[in-house]
Amino acid sequence: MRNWVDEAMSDMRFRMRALFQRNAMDQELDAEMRFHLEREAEKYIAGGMPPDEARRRAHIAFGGVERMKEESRQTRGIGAFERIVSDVRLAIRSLAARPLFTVAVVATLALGVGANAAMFSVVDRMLFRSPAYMHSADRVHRVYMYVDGERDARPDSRFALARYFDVRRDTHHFDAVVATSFREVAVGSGEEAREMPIAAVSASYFSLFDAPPVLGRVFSS
Amino acid sequence: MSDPKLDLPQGTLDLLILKAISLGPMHGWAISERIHDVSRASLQIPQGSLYPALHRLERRGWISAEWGASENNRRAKYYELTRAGRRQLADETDGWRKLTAAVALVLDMG
Repeated sequence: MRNWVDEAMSDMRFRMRALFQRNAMDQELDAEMRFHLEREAEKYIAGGMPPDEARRRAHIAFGGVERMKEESRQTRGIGAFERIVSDVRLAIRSLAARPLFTVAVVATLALGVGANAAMFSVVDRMLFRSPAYMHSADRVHRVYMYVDGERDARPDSRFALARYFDVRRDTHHFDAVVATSFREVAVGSGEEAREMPIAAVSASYFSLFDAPPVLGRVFSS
Repeated sequence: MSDPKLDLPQGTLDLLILKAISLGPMHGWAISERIHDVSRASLQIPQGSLYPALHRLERRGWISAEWGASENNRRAKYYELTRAGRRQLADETDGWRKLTAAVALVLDMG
C-alpha cells in the first residue's frame, strides 16, 4: 500500500515538473547527454584516438541522440496533455479564421445554455425546493380526496370547505390544518374595479411560515 | 569481441540500472560503463537507451537525481537509489532468480 502511494506521489511530482518546468527539463536532458558523449569521447582519446574519430565513435555507441531525447520526453507522461494543448490551439486557430461562423456558434450555444439555466432555476425553485420561509417543510403534506367519477375515482386536492372542517375536527396527527383557496374576483368599485387573483386562507396558514407580514399583522381565528 | 552480443530481454535494463547504482550515486555514463564492464562486454545496450530508462525510474520514485561535480570536475547528473528503489531492486532480483531457475529447469529437462 505504501509502495503504491509513494509511487503515485513521485509520479505526480515528476509530471508537474514536466508540465511547468519543461524548458529546464529539456536543458537538463541536453546537458546530461552532452556530458555522456564528452565522457565517452575522452575515453577513446585516452586510448590514443584522434578527437574527431573519438567523438564519432561516442555518437555511434550512444545511438541516435535525438531519438533518445524523444524517448525520454515520452517517459514524462504528459504526452496526452500535450496533445490536448495542441488540439486546443488548432481549434482556436481555425475558429479565428472563420469569425462569422464562430459568432453564430457561440451565440447559439450561449442562448441555449442561458435558456436552460433560466428554466432550471425556475423549476428548481418552484418544484424541487420547499417554499421560501416555510419551516419544517418535510412535515407539511397536501391532502387529496378521491372524487368518484363515472368509471374510476380520481384524486383531487380541491374540495368543499365543509371537508376542511371535517379534517380539522377529526384528525389529530398534525399540529395544524390549513386551507387555501384561489380565485379571481373583482376588487374595487365602479370604474376602478379590476378582476384580480385572490387567495383565501385559514388563519392557521400563517403558522407554517416564519416570515412576518410586510404590512400590518396576520389574522387569527 | 568474438562472442556475439546478447540483446536485453524486455524490462531487464531497469534491473541492471538499479543494481549498478545500488553501491552509490552514479551518473549515466558511469552506469553504462559499469554494466558494460561487469557483464564482460557481452550485453548489447545502446548507451543512449539508458536515459529514457533512468527517467522512467526517476518518475516512479525508485531513483532520485541530483546534479553534482563529476570525477573530472564537470557538472553531471547523479542518480541514487531511493528507499522504494532498494525494495524494488530486492523484489526484481528475487523475481529474476526464480524466472531464470525455472527456465533453466525446463531447458535441462531430459
